[in-house]
Order: sequence, then structure tokens, then C-alpha cells
Amino acid sequence: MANCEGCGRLLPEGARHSPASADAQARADRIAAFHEELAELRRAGVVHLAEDELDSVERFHERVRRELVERFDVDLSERGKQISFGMRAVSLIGAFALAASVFFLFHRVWGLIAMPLQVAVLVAAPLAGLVGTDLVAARDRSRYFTSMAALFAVACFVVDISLLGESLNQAAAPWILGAWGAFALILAYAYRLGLVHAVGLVALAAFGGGLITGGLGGDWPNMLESPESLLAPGAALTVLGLILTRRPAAAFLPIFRTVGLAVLLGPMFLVAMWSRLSRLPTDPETTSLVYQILLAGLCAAAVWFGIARRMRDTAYCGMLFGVALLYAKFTRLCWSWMPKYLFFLIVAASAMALLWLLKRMRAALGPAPQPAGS
Amino acid sequence: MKRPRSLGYLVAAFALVLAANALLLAAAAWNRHDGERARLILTERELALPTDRPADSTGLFLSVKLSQDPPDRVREVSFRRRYELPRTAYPWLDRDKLHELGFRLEDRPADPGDEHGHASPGTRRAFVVLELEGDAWSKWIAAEADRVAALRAQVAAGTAPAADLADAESLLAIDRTMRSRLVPIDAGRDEALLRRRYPDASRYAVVEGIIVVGSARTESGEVEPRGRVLGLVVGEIYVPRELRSRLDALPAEEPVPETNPAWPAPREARYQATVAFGRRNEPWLVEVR
Repeated sequence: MANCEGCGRLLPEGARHSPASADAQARADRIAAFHEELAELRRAGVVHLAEDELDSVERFHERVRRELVERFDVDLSERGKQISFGMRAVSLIGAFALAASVFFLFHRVWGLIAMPLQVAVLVAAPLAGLVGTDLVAARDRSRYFTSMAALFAVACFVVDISLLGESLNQAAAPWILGAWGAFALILAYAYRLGLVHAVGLVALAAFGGGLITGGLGGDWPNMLESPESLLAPGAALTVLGLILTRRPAAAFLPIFRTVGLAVLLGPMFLVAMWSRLSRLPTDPETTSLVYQILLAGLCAAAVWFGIARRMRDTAYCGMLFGVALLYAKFTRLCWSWMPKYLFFLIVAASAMALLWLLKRMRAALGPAPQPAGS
Repeated sequence: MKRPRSLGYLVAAFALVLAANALLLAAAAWNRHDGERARLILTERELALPTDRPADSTGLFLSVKLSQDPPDRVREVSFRRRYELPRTAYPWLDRDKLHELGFRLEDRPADPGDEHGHASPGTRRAFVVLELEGDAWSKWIAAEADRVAALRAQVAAGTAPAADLADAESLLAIDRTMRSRLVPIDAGRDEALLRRRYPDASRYAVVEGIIVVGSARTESGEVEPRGRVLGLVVGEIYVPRELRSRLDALPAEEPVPETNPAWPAPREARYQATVAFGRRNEPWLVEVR
């Protein structure tokens, strides 16, 4: 292709949005790898290209790289990728700091203003956050600042509902978690923000757990006393992460699967280790055994499925909880009687075996796809 | 780079914020509509000021104290002196009542790892009847006085240390003037039934509480499940700005000394507050004087 006007058409479905940005990064990486390999081949005398041909290729790739940076803010080098990772971490810290400042500001002025003004301030804060997010998104190619602004808007909404409910002396209900989750998801889909999407899914999972706990007569803020209330929401999110095909949700499938598996396997791990947390009418030892077998089976299935479908998130989640179960069980069985040097020797040997296994898994999964959004 | 069309999403988010706030305000209005379900005149004993009021937090919330909750200063002193305060038991929260509240106790075999002999079935919500300065309170304070009298006899006989008696007498004097007179006397899942059973709106309030299962040793030495009221779902009441003047004028408490602090001197309550309870059993402050 002689020019870059059709760059967008090279990308899947002519799309401009995520996951197009992942494909854009992959294209930038291929161009960099191509130039490195071409230089090697020329040095080895395998390839002979005329100077004008080389210049033509170089000019073309320069235009492609420029357009990819302008439209998708790709990293052109390994150092650029490391800086991007640092930017993500800093934007997360900035978002939490902004949220904390909102929280403390409201509490500082709360007792000084009358109720009508309190309501007005609380309602205005998340609305202003929404407007601010939209203004920032219009100018922010990288989406780091947009992510910060969106998380700030979510924090304002959280403070709004919780502080208003406390001031009205109301018993908190699970629906507020659903409202927070829906708000975060709306922002995530509007501006393609992965972290905000994860926050929204966690809130919705908690909403589901709260509904189940409250519906069974329990005290829903203490839903972690009954971790089984989170199994259904976790399973639902995991399944959605496997079957969704419609945009915009389909662009965030890895996040659905990761959050879903964490919410599904985490509570199972808790009950497997502390069976008294279960509400099943069975004796604790049977409950613990059943959950351990189920958890081990699900972890193995997640690893196998993740490798078969090249879903890194699924494979790594399964591996993480499988390893946690293995070491927790080993510690519980052996710590009290095994000589400590032998205990840690076995842990070290198993870590080496796991490293070998992970290496094989990484090779089977292939190169990592770039994450969509920040 | 062009950004995606976000107007539809913005409108949805705006609508969600407005709807959520409207729902909260509507619920509060519905709670206060069509009269009150109860109106209690409480004092500092039942509605405690926070022990710490930092400049970063100007909002004022009063904590609802039940008779099982010692005054905050007493709890802090007992912590520093490593003194174990006697716990309040509710004999009416027995196995039958716990079953009525939905706890499942018998269908779980005893867990040998559970020192109490009953695996904890978690917390449950229920409607709890609070009685203000009624028979339950009189009986409780009389039982405490009997306990101190028995201890006095033991000290006289030389079978108990005098220091224990001094502590017990100090705490009894504090309980008579500073402990909450709000006693949970019943619980159930049918709110209307409880209201019919306890109709006096000036003495009883039916509110949502959190029940947890503990255990108690019977006279024969057996361990039986016994419930506790962990707290109320709405455990704090906001003080609107227009009602704060009386409370803001009160001097701040001195901090409790780190080593060997003395029990606080008994004193009368410094304020009185009228609390109303609405259709959703949610309270609000009507007056503070």
C-alpha cells in the first residue's frame, strides 16, 4: 500500500476502536521487528535491496507509524512500553488520591451546610465528574487521564449515595452496589476503559452476592461470612466472558473472565480452607473435601480451556488459584509435623516444577495480545 | 483521534445518578409520611456523642447505644486496665427463638474444632423490639446490684480481693446514671406482629437489628446456643445543622490516660433527644435539648 489513508481499513472491520488498538500495537511491533531482521539479513549478505527501494519502504513505514501513534497512541519501542506501564500505575494512584480527596472534602464541609445544599452538592458532584470525563476524553488520546477522570466520577457517585443515605439514617440496600456498578460500566463502555470496567464488574458481583445474602435473611454487608453467595455472580460473569459477542461488552471479554473467575474461585478457596463458612447442611469435613475437589477441577479446566482457546487470562487465573490451593493444603497437612528444612525444600522443588509448567504454558499460549484500554 | 460517540452513554449516566438520588429521597419521604410508628425521648445514655471529633469531619452522628453497650469511656478505660467487663445475656434469644429467626442449628453436626460446640451460622437480620426504661432494664440493674452485693459478702469473708469490689461498685454507680436504658426484649421476622404485641409507641420501638449466635453454659454444664444482638442496622443518627447548637456547646472530653486510668465519675446525662421512627423503621431526630 503506497499511502496511509487506508490504514484503518487494514485493521479488523475497519474499526477505529478497541480491540483495534491492540491490533495497531501489534502492527507497530511487526514493523519494528521487520526492520531489525532486515538489518540482520543485509549484514549477513542474504538480502540485497536497492537504496531507493529501502527508502521507499522506510518512508512508508514512517507514515504508518506516525498514523498509528496519532490514532492509537501505540508504543514504538520496549522502553515506550515500560513507560506506558508506569503511566497506568501512576494514573491508578492518581485516581485513588482524587477519590480520597473528594471523600475528605465532603466530610469536612458536611456539618457546615444545610440539608438542601447537601443534596445539591452530592448530586452535582458525579454529574460534574461525568462532564469532566467527557471533556478530558475529547483531548486525551492515551486514555490515562480519561481513566482518572472516570474513576473520579465513580468515586463521587459512591460518596453521593453513601453519604446521602447515612444523613437520611437509611439502612443501606444492595441496589446501591448495582447502581455503582452500572455507572462504572456506562463510563467504561463510553470511553473504552478497562480498569473502570473491572471496578463496575466487581460492584455488580457484590450486588448479586448482596441480593442472595439478603434474600436468605442474612446481613448482606457481611456477605463474605457466606462466600457461597458470590458463586452465582462469579459463574455468570465467567460465562458472559465466554459467550458475549455484541459490542461494546465484547471488547472487554478478558476482564469479564478475570473478574468472574476471581469471584467464583476465591470464595470456593475460602470455603475449601474454612468449611465453617459454608451454609450447606453437611458436616464440615465433607464440605471441605467437596469444595477442594470442585476447586481443583475448575482450576484444571480453566487452565486447559485457556490454553486451548489462547485465553491467557483464563489460563493464568486457573493456575493462580490451583497453586494457592496446592500450597495451602500442603501447609495445612505438613507444617505442624514436617521438619522445616524439608518443608521449604519441597516448596522450592514444587516451585521449580511449576516454573517448568508455566514455561510450557507460555509457549503454548503464544505472544501476548495488548490489553484494550487502561 | 476521534473519540466514540458518548452522548447516549452520558445521558444514561446522568439519568442513573438522578434516579438513584431520587429513590433515596423518596424512601426517606415515605418513611416519614403518614405518621410515626414510635417516638422515644432518649438521653446521652442512649445517643452517644462520638469520642473523637476531628476537624476533617464536621458532620455529627450520634451512636445508638443499647443496654449491652457500656459507655464509650468505660470501654476505653477497661481496655487500658485489661479489665473484662461482664457481658449481657438475653435468655429470650434461646434455641427456639433462633430457629424462629431462621438460624439452622440442629442439622449441622457439631464441629470438633469449634470450642463452643456449635459451628457459627453467621449473622441474620431480624426486627428487634427495644424497650426504654422498662421492666427489662429494672431487672438488669437489680441483677447487677445483687452481683455486687454477693461480691461484697465474698470480700467480707476474705474469698475475693477488695480491688474487685471497688471496680464493681464504681461500674454499678456508672451503670445507674450513664448506661443505656434501651433493652432488646424480643425479635421476630414479622414486624406487624411485633407492633401489635408491643403497641406503646412511647416506650417500644421496632427496628432492624443484626443477630448472631453465640453460646452459653447451662447450669448442668451443657453448652447451648444463645443469640446476641450484634447491633442495629441503623446504628447512627445524623444530627441536622439546625439541631446541633446544644451539642456543639458541650465541652470535649479529656482523653483517657494511657496507664492505669480511673473509672469515669458518674454524671447525669447532658442532653435529651426526641427520636421518631417511621414506616421503614428508620429514625430521625426531632428535637435536642
